[in-house]
Amino acid sequence: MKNLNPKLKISEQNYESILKKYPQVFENAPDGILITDSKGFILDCNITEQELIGYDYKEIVGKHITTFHSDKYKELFKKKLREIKIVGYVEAELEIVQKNGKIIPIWRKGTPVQDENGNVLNIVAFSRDISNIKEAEQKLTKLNIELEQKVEERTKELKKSEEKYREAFNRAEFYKDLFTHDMNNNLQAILSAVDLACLLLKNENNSSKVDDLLDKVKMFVEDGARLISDIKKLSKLEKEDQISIQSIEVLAILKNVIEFSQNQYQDKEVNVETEISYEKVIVQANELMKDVLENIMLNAIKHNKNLVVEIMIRISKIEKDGINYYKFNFIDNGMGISDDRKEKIFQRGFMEDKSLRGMGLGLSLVKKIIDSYNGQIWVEDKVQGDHSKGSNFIIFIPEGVE
Amino acid sequence: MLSEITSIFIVDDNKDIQVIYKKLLEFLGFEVMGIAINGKEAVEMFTSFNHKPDIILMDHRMPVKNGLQATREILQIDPDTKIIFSNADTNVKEESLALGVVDFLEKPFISKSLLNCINKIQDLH
Repeated sequence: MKNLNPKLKISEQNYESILKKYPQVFENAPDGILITDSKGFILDCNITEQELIGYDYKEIVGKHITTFHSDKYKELFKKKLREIKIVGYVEAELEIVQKNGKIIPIWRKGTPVQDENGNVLNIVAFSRDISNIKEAEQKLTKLNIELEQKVEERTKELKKSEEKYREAFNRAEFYKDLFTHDMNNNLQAILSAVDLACLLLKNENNSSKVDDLLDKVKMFVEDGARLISDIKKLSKLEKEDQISIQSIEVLAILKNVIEFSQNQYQDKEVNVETEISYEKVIVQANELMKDVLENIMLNAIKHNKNLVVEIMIRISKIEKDGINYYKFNFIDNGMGISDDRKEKIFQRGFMEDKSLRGMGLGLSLVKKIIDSYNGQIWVEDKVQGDHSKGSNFIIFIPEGVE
Repeated sequence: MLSEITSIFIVDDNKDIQVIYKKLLEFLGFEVMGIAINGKEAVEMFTSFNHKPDIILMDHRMPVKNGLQATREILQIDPDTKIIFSNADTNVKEESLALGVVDFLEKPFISKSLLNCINKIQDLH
């Protein structure tokens, strides 16, 4: 429309005449068209504009253009009037309030009609309902936010699983490292013992020494086998979230373990005393209970320089925080555990302090197993304040049902 | 060598290995002049010896202070100390040799290898 080009600076009369000449353009335009005076008071509008605003022609004409704006956009006209003189047109997205109260988002473009001196005579504004666009925009924004949230969630999950894998990798590395170290030491002891046995065999008088050595070799091999088994069990415990726990009777297991450990060290006399006033001791545990008892017993014997190893096993019942436990005491006359190592000995995990290496895996396994039973384990001095007199290993395991 | 019997100082945290080494070395005619259970004890004992050992058999992975650290300190005290370094992992081989140990033995090693190392040190004199 030529008359809408501000550069032409057509007169009001011209403009009127063009409207008269092409009334169908004005009325049939797909956009709403408003014509105001220089102050924004509406002079004319087409049907599309009436439908958009939701008021009749008579209700619209004579009103200020901002009458139909929502509260947020009441000041818009003042601001834009300055702009229109400089730029030659204005564009804005705003909201109008229809007669029925419905708020509609619209896009509006205003163009001035100016006289020869550049004074604004009229403003011709085109309006378009952008509800659909706005709705789509909102949907898009919402989708975007959802997408971002999803990406964030996935990233978190990914990080978690990455951490999990890294942890698993570290753990595997740790076990490999531990296994290499302990097993090689074990093989070293076996190899040196066999070498010595071979040397001793050159003289028949040495047969008793050779026998002793072969007993040692047998013990080293058993140590190695135990290491393999401990590693297998530890890694199984680490892997499984759900450990099956049932009510089991411990006294029969304990009896076997005592016999087994007494026979393990032929060069030591092992005296085991028990203070157990129950016919049956039923705890919430599983088959790994045997490993717990075996490790505690073998440790008590191994780390003991006395010719006669004394171990006292006491079992009693105790209630703690509303839970009934069986309390096991294993009191030995061994070399004891200094205060700074009392907690560390159970923590030979893959985050371990390097100074703990070479301590064996047994107690870490024991701790893991007891934890899986919701029990507790710790060590105290046999004689309080003097660890050199021996240790007192204390274990709490929840009582089971018969 | 000052005395005719070669004296050996064993540094290893593994009790079984300590016992077997001692028996083996004594059977082979060496004097085991001491056993340390970690690097810290090794340095302390080495400092306190009136007669320094002819050879130190040094393990690496030990609690409190490892073999490399102990070796560094001992060689600082007496750079002529003959140390045979051993470890299950060869990752410290280069480092130990660079520090100035005479030989590196990868665990597990046969007694013949150890004997060869000892002979080599004796031949140097």
